[in-house]
Amino acid sequence: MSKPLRRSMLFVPGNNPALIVDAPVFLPDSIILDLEDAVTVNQKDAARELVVHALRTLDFGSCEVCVRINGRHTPFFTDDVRTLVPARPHALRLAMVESAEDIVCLDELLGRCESEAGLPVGAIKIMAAIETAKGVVNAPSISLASPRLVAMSFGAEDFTNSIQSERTPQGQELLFARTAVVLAARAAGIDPIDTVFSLVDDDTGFRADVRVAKQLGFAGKSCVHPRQIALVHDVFRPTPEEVHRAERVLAAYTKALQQGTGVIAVDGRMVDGPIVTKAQRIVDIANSSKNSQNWRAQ
Amino acid sequence: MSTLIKRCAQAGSLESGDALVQVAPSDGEKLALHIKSKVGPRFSKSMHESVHAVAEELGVTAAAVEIVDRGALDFVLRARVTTALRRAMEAEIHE
Amino acid sequence: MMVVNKVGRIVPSFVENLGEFQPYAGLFATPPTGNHYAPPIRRYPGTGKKLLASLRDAILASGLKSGMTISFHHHFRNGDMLVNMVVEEIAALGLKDITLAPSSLQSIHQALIPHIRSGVISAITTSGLRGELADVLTRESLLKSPVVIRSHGGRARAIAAGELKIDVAFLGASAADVYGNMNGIHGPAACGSLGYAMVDAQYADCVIGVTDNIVPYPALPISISQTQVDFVVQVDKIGDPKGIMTGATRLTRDPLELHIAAQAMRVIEASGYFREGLSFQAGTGGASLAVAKFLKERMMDTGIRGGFCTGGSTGYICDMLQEGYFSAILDTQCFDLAAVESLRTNPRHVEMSASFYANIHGKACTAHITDIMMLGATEIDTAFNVNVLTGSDGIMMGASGGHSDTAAGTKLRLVTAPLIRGRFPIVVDNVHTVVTPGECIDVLVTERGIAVNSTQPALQERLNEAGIMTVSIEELQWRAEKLTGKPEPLAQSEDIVALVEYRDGTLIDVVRRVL
Repeated sequence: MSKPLRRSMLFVPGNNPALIVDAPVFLPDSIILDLEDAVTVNQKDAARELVVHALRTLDFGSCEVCVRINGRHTPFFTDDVRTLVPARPHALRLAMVESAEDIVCLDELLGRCESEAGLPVGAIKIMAAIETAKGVVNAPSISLASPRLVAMSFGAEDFTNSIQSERTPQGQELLFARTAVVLAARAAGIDPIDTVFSLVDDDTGFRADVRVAKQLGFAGKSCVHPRQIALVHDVFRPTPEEVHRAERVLAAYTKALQQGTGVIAVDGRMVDGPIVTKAQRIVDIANSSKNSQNWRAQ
Repeated sequence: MSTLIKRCAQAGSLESGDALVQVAPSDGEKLALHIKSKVGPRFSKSMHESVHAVAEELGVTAAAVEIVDRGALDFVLRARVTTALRRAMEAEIHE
Repeated sequence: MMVVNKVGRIVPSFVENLGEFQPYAGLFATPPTGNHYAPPIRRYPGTGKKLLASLRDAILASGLKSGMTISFHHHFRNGDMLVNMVVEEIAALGLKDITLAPSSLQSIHQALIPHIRSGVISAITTSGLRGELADVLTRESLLKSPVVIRSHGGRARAIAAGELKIDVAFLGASAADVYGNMNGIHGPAACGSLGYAMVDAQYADCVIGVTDNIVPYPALPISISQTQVDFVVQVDKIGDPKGIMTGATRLTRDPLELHIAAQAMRVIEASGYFREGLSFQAGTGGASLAVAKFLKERMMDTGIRGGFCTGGSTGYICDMLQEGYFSAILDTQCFDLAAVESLRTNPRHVEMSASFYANIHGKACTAHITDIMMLGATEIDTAFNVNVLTGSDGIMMGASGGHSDTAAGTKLRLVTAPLIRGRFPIVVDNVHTVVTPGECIDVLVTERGIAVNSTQPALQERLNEAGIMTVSIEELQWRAEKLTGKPEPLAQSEDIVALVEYRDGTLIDVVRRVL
């Protein structure tokens, strides 16, 4: 089986029952039940309980289900992990990761909780949220800190604060950080996930932002509104021409393997390892998009 | 283990799909449950069962539980009751 | 005597004070009989001066007596002041035992409750009931006979056939002249089309035009004509504009409704009816109205242009007319001021009567020649029977409207609904009240899946070919109940509080008193 797509990761406030129940309807690749920014300090316990009950009860279909937990240095971190593990989310997204140690700490705590809950150690994956200058600088070591790590996301709001700058529509202030996260994640073989775009009504701006993210090498984007999901999938969806060419590359490659021929060419271009890999990726994404019944973008 | 609730606490909200659960000490020695809900006539039995099940799980034997339901699904109701009872029980411990 | 009708509901064949009824036997199974009703011929004053000083004078002049039937239209919706005003006056005159026969009733009409309790009103027939009034009439047996629920087309048919004989029609208009020409598009209480009033104007024994805006003769355009109006009355205020309509209906922003609408559009496109000249009736609910948005986008993409739009109108549909996406709007009812403005200014936007729209026994009705109809549902059962009248608590809260009329005749009948509404599953074993029989529903579109009626294999085939995933309606029910749990049975008495007429006058269901 090919690895799961993480083009769209929909944030859902962890203390809002209606939004949690409806989240899978929009078929995001991942759902992130949020216990961090979306939940006020005095409702952390209620949200945690609700999320645990939701994980145990709801059928999220083909969606990957993650929980964004509070940062390692907050008073909620340990309780978040301890309470959530028995309900077995696919992954925990740790907020405000600044060092490999943050991940190691979560990894160890997860291991203990998994053992206590009778789960195989390593069952629950980790996603690291890089949201500060320090996190960006340490991205390479963070990305290698645990075999549980499957994705590394970038958060622009806190990041611009940490470098004492402001977000602009052009986003030059984010360019280095976004690229640094992509490089570290890709080097470690995990998925780089781009920051949220909070102007939910600005479809044109959002689309442009997703195009940039795709071009920079991100595997997907965090979404704050269901309507963004189809737009993300649309940008990440290969064009029919791309799919057609990829299918022919794969067909030629399969044929070459069967017949034992060495060098092959499609449309006069030599087909080698990277081209086959790329073709496979395009076909995988196309198949996955075909299966999702998303509403048309816009 | 049997706990009598001696403090007030609440959890949840009046948003659609949620329920507001208020817990208070009860006069008697059992769970006094009052539910106000638009879906009441069709889900009353299930709601009562869920609240009693949660209370039993937490070892609560006596409390006055007041619920204003806004169409909460069963798991939501259970989560809200759990939080409200836990909050009331923790208030006890911290004293 | 009770009999079982074609949708398996037990209905009476005779009801005290109302007479005999036939059970529902199929969409077009029961043939019509008899002649059209005609009002009596009277002598009119040669000068044509019909203006009377007050409602009381008009009631006296009309010859209204205890035991008679009065009618109204519901174009002023929840801003209506006329029904309450007239009943108040009738009560003050000491009349009793009146049958109230408006085209529909709203929550503002809860003011009628005391007059029902005191016996001034003893019978009601309407398309729908809402709020406190609906609640009281479902929980208590206050009337001498059950409320008769009729569809818009069914009411037009019953009036034309003389089954619903109207003694005095009080027809509100936002503009009228002293000779009785009236419209709903000028004046402070503008409500647009007067489509539902036209049938009353044609068949009532006495027609009283009521307005708060007398204009110089002739009141143009003429929606209801001087040839049908007996008296005209001017009152201070006929309706509250705030309750009549909003400025412009906003398209929903609810992502769930948009999702349902987008799925519905995919079904429309795959069905084969998305084609040049298509005719369309947008619903009024959030999701069904939003379908218009997606329809417009696909029309833009493909260059396909529509024929007529029918039913009610909103600013959004009127913009589509203006921009050339449709060639005409046939309108029974305007839902916002933008639609009223369109009716006023666009010659291709015209009023039609309820009979023109939906009367099964008229010589033609638009509902029978429309391609695509967006329908709503408070409940739908696994046989696709639809309830739009009672809520999941068994209480009346909606209206039959044009639901069964359009479903019977339209080529593609889509029901859009959220699968879960306030913990109630929308798909149930048996709907509490059947308003529209499942045999004329093609497909149910929800946010959690699409189900095609098994009686429509051709449509199923087309959706399969288009790669649209569908499931059985039982699967949808299972998906809903997995979230909500199965509701416990409703506690209801044997007493019948309402009869639900199918559009041909047969009984399709009854509403029983909720305990």
